Amino acid sequence: MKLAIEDVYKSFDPFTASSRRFVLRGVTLQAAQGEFLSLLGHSGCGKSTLLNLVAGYIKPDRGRILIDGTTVEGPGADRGVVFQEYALFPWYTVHENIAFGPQVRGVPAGTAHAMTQRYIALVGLTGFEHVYPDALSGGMKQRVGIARALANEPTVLLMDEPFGALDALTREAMRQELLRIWLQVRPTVVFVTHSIPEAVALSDRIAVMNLRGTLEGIIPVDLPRPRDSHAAQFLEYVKALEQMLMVDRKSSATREPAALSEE
Amino acid sequence: MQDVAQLGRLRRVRPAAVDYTRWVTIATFFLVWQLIAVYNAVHQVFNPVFLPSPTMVLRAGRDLLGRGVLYLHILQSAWRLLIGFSLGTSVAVVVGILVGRSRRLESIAAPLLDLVGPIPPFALLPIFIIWFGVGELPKLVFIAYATFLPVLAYTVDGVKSVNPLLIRSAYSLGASEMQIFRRVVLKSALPNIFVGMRVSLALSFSALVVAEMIGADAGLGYLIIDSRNFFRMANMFLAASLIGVEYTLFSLLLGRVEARLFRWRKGGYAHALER
Repeated sequence: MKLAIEDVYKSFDPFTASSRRFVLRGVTLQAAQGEFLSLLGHSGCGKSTLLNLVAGYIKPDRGRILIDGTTVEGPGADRGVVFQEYALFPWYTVHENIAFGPQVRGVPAGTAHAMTQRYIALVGLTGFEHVYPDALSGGMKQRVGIARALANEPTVLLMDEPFGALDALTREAMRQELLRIWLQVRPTVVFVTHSIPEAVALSDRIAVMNLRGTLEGIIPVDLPRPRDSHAAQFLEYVKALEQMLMVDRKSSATREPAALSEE
Repeated sequence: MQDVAQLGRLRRVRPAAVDYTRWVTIATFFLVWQLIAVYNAVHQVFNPVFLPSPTMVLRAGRDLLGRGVLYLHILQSAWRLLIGFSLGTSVAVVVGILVGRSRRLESIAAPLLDLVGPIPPFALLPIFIIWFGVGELPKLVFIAYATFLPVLAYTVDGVKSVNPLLIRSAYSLGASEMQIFRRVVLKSALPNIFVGMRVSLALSFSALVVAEMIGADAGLGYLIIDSRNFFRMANMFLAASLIGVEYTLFSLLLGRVEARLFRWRKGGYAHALER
C-alpha cells in the first residue's frame, strides 16, 4: 500500500472545558499505487482534517499514517499538497513557483529547469512562465498549484477541495484537466471534495465520511473513463451516494452538534 | 483578429501627461523668494542679512566649492547616514525576525519596547556621547538607534502576518527551516520592512543633523552650526537645502529598490479602476 491510515483519532481543544470533541474516531483507509481515492462528506465531517494529518501538518491523537511503510512524522516532499486557496508564492513567477520544489531539494539547475518546463507544458501554461500569480485567473492558478506539487514527483498527491473556489464552468474544465494529467502521470491521489458528481467523475474509490468522524463506507466506482455525467449508471452512483449522505444528515440531527472542526 | 485590432484603436493608451504645474510651482517659489530678498535689500523692511536671496545662496555654494570643503561636508553626511541607517536596519530586521517567530521572545521584547520606545532618540544623544566618546561611534550608533525602532516594529508585524498556508506549502515541497525563512518568511515580510525603512529614513536624517550639530567637525549639520557662529546666513540656507537634496536622493534610491523588488505586487487604490 502506498498510503495506509490505521485507526486514526483526532480531537481539537474544545472552546469550553466540558469534553474534547473528536473529529475523527478510528478511521482506517488505504490507497494503492496509482489509485484515485476521494474523501467525500459534509462540511465538518473531518475530511480536511484527515488530509492535514496525511500531509503531516497536524498529529493524530491515536493511530498512525504510513507512506510506503514509513510513519508520517511531519510534512515532506513525498506528499505533494494542492490547496483550495492555491497557496502560490505571490513573489515568484509561474516558473519560479513550479521550480520551488526541485530547487529546495537540491536538483541541479539544468535538470530543475527542464522538469519545470515539462510540468508547465503538462498543465497547459506554456507562455505564462514569467507571469506573477496575481495576474492569473483562478483556474490557471490551480494549474500552477497542481504543476508545482507534481514537479516534486511525490509518492502521494493530496488535494484539498482544489476546485472549491472555482466557478462551475472552470470547475468542469479543471476536472477533465486533472483526469488527463492523472492518466498521464499516474500519481496516487487523495482528493477531498463535497461534490458528489465530482467524486464519481474522478475516483477509483470514494470513501464516504459521516459527521460522527468515522467512515460511512467505501464505494468503488466501476465505470470506464472518461465518464459521462448524464449516463444512467453515473446517476445511479450519484443517487446512492446522496442517500448515504442524507441518512447521515438525518441521524446526526438528533445527536450532539457536529464536531468542532478545523475546516 | 480584426476585433483585437479594433479594440486597440478604440482603447488607445494615453501617454502620461507631463505635469508642468509641478515645475511652475517650484520656479515660482524661487522667483518670489528672490523678489522678496531683492526688494528687501533695497527698501530695508527688515535686516537684509536675515534673508539671503537664492542667488546669494548659490554664490555661497560656489565659494565653498571653490575652497574644496563643500564636497567634504556632503560626503561626510551621506556616509554617516548610509552606515548608521544600514546598521540600524540590519539589526532591526534580524531582531524583528527572531521576535516575530517566537511568542516567548515577543512577550519579553514587547514590554521593553514599551519602556524605551516612547523616549525620543534625541533625548538620549548626550548619554550616547558620554558612553561612546566624541568620535564617529556615538553618531553612528545614534543614527542606527533612531532607525532601529520603527524598522523593528514593522518587521515583527510583517513576520507575524505571513500566510501560514504558504509555510505549509513550502514544507510540503521539501523546504528546510532555513529555506522557508529565506524564500517565504523574509520575502513575505519585505514589503513591511520597506515601509519601516521609509518611516525611519526621515528619523535617521533628523538624527544625523542633530548628531552633527553636537560635536562634529564636518558634515552638513556641522556646517549649519559653524555658519551660525559666524552669522553666515547664506551658508545656513545652503546646508539646509543640501540636507533636503540628500534626503530626496536617498528616498528615491529606496523607491527604486522597492520598485525592483516588488514587481509582483499590484493593487491598492490606483489599480481598482481603469481610468
